[in-house]
Amino acid sequence: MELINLVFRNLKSRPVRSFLTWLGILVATTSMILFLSFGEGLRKALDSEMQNFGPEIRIVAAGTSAFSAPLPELSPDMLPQLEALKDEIGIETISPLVVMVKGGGFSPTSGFLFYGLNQETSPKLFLPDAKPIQGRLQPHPDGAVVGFKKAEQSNLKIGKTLRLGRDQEVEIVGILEETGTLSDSAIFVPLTVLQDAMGTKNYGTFLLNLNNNVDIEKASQKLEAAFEGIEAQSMSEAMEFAKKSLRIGDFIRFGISAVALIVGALLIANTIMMSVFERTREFGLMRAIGAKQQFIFGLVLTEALFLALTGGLAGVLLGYIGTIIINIISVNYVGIALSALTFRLAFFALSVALVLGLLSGLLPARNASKMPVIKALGRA
Amino acid sequence: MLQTKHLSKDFIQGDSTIHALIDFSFDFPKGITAIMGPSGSGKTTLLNLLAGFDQPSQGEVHLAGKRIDNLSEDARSDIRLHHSGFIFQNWSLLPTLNAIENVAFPMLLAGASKEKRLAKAETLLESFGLKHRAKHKASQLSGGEQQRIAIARALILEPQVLFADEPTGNLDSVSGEIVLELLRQHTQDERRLVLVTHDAEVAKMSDRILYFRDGKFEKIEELK
Ligand SMILES: Nc1ncnc2c1ncn2[C@@H]1O[C@H](COP(=O)(O)OP(=O)(O)O)[C@@H](O)[C@H]1O
Ligand SMILES: [Mg+2]
Repeated sequence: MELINLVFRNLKSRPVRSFLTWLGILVATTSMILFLSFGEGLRKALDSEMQNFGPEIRIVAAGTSAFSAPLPELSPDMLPQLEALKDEIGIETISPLVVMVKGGGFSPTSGFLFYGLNQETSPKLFLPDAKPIQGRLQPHPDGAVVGFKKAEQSNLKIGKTLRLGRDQEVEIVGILEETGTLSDSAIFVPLTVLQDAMGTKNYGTFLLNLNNNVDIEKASQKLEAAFEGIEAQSMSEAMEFAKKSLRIGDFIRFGISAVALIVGALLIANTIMMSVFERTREFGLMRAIGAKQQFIFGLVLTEALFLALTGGLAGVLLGYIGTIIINIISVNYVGIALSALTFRLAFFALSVALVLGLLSGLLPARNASKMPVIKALGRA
Repeated sequence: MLQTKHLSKDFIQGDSTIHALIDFSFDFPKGITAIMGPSGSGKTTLLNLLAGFDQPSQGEVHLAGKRIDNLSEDARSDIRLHHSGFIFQNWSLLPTLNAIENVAFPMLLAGASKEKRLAKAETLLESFGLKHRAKHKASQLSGGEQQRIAIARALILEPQVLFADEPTGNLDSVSGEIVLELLRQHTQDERRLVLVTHDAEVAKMSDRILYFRDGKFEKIEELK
């Protein structure tokens, strides 16, 4: 406690320099939090999508990319053919689907993302825990069920009418609970109505649930062999790919923030070195009065740690505010919270700040404490 | 209490060796012992050895019943803390602490509680007529006040030995008088004060004067 008081006095006696150093650590920690929180946010979003997404395989027309909305290019004949292969491949359920994006380009929030579901398919296919907060869960036979966020953003209420095409209208019959996934921005409508609106009898995709113990890879290969011009994408593969690129991104982000942190550490080291040098005579006086080397060592090291700890804490706090702002923006524009300050990230950032404080304080502390008292007093 | 035996200190500078102090043996009696001699005669060197700031080339220093010249830095710090006090010519106070905290600092090092420290420091400051300066820092105090506070600090753990190297060297004569009077008042009973000065007026108030020249102890003059 006494030590902290002395440290604080000293930092206060050089307020501008102390403040700038503190600011350096704050900025370094904040930038690390912000950079890394992106990875955490995306990972969280991916995980919940993955957990909530039941089907193991999606069949799309060849050339459709893993994350884009599939065009209705699969012939209606495919459905009975798939049904026929059910036992051979080990398919449990087949859910034919059309997807329509209306307005707003690919942004699910500014535009409308419609999923056409057949009689047997429920929004639970996308959201196993889906519950309506109002009305019902199933769009069939003639209604639309709206995701939470979409309802909120576009002010959609039960009983309102949505226009899908020239002559196709559906009445809103249900609004779903919030789940924190992309499906919060979706609108579920009956398959045939959406097909009519798009002027097609084709399907956009088939989502397949496999029986237990069926090898997903083998099933995809069999499907691709059985049909011309299709791709059987395994969902876990797509997620794995996404996670891998996320990890690479983590490395890059950590690299960038590590530079900021090293700069922060050099700042502390420099400040402490300079102030140790300036206080040579002061430390000599303390030693002349009777302070031991350890006392001086502790004084200098505590100074570095104090700067690192308070700067780091303020950095975590500012980083937290930053992630909230990023999320407000990203939820509005892309529909998911991109940034997440998890406990482990806050802990990690603070630990890194402290370790750097420790490292940058050790050398000056050693120098200050090892100097012979006669030298420090300037009497030699 | 304070004794030297064949104490010598050489400084090696390039090819030449400076004999700053040569074979000095003395048992300091109680009271004030002034050290005089021209500049470069080895007065500061002697004081550094007595206080344990530096280590001799040869000989021994005994303080408070212990041989201190061969102890480690930390052990010598400990002896200084509990058995001696030092008053420098200038730059005497810790600049980030105020007067009362400076006075209390040795007690902090000795591990005393805050209340005890401040109570004792306040009593001392009061008896020195400096209570109204308790919250001032060195930069806000006059040279004389700084020296008086340095004396209070040297006394707070009630050491048996005091060292002062030209304590009035930077003061006007009036402030110098006050500082000397304080030192004299607090050198009573068993306490010893070793006072380096080149001012004959200052040396007059001591009990004896040791004269040095070129590192050699020349003569002793008993005054009382
Ligand atoms: N650290 C040192 N290195 C080299 N020579 C020194 C050192 N300290 C003192 N001296 C020399 O020792 C001699 C005595 O110095 P000092 O004790 O400071 O004298 P005084 O205090 O009587 O003026 C001088 O010749 C001085 O130059
Ligand atoms: Mg001198």
